[in-house]
Amino acid sequence: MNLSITAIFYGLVGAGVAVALFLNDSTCPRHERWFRVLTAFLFWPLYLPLLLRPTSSSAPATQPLPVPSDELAAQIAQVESELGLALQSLDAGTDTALKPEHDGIEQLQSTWRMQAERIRELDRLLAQPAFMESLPAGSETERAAQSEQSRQQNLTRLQAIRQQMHQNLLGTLAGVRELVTRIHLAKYTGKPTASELIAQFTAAISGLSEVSALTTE
Amino acid sequence: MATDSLTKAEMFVAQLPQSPTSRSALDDLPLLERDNSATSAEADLNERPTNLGVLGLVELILKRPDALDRLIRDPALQPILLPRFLAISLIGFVFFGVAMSLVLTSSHVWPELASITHKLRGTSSTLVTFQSSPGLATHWWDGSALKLTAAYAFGLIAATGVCLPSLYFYGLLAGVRMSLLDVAVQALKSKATSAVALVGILPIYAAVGMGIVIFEAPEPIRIGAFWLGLILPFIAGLWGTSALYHSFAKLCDTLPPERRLNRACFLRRLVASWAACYTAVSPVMIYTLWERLAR
Repeated sequence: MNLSITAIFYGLVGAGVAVALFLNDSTCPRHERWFRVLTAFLFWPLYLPLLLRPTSSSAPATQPLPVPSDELAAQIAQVESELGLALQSLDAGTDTALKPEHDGIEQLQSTWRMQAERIRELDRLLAQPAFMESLPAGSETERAAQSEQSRQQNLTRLQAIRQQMHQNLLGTLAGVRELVTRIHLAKYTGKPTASELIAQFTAAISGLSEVSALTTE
Repeated sequence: MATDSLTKAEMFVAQLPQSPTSRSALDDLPLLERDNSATSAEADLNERPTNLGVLGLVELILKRPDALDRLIRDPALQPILLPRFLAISLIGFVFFGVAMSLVLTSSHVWPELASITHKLRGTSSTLVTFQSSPGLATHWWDGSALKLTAAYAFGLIAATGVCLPSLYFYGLLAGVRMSLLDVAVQALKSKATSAVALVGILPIYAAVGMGIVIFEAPEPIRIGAFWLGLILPFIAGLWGTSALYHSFAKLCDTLPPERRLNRACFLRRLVASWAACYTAVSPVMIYTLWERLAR
């Protein structure tokens, strides 16, 4: 198949797409409509997804996952807002030494959101009625009593793990808030220096990743 | 295992730079009162742009790329934005074609293209040779300038269409929830960004071109400058690639948090490899079209 035959087939499909697009959309202004038709004839592969999109009002595909609106989420949003402002002030100022750390900061934010999600998972788990009730005393055998005792111990450990994760996360957030104030301080006084700030950020990022890996295990 | 993990976690928290008072605030991190600057900055970020015309979109590309990234994810706006990004791209590439033709005709040269088949068979030594041209207006009247412009404008955008399914596939491979229309709009936004960057650097290139003509630069410098002009859309394309890269990275917020970190890195690498794939496809497409049209 040479170029001429390819061009003919390309043009035929293009004409089809252009006509379909013309019939499909009559709401936009006239000049824009004709621009669409003309460009659809030439660049139909780009318009094809427009014609093939679902017409039902289903949930948009690339909308971010809903963000939980609990106290933890509010605290994370607060810290992220403060961090964003601090970084913006760096962008606007002369000190650009922290700019290479932006990817790491994104990673840090992603990690603490993930940790918050784990804590919520544990909360949901521990809130289940099966995890809250215990067998009535006196009606069990010795083996059943031992199992119940182990079960209670496991539940206590789960609660301890949840508490520890919560404290870790809050500690991290508090640490980041302190870093934010240091960024502002560094901007006006030059202390701590940019290299010290970078070292602190790097330590925070790598430390959080480590904690995240451990909790995954 | 859990105890061990907790001990390590505790050690990490202890290592974090904290003041003594922040330690006591672990259980109840207070929410600060929002100051005015924070509110205004956030409001600025969340403010929805109202002018979505071609010029409004150019302004968004230049001034508020983050807002544009959020905007193009709105399914209701995608059918409106797609042809407008295409219009920006076409206008930019047509500007380039005209400017390139001006530089070439003012220098009294015009590129002669050899067939890729001949080059592969060894019957032709070079693909592009810059032949001297008699008059200033010759190549405007015989349609050569139009062919150059058409080859670049069509080739650069059609190559996006050719590579579109692979970008969609890469997105799915990384686990991002996106439709083919999302991918098309993302790709065209990247193309529009390239076109805007191209228009931005065109005056600099035009100045270089005029300098060559006025100061009668030696032959190697002239040839180098002509080649620079021919690859200028690919240099400007780096802005588009960067825009696509960052825009796709943001799509990771559609992923569950526990998978986000690993998938984000994978997705970024896939987008970078798609850009490399596009960079290989588009010159071949432009050259083939230009050579066919010039016959």
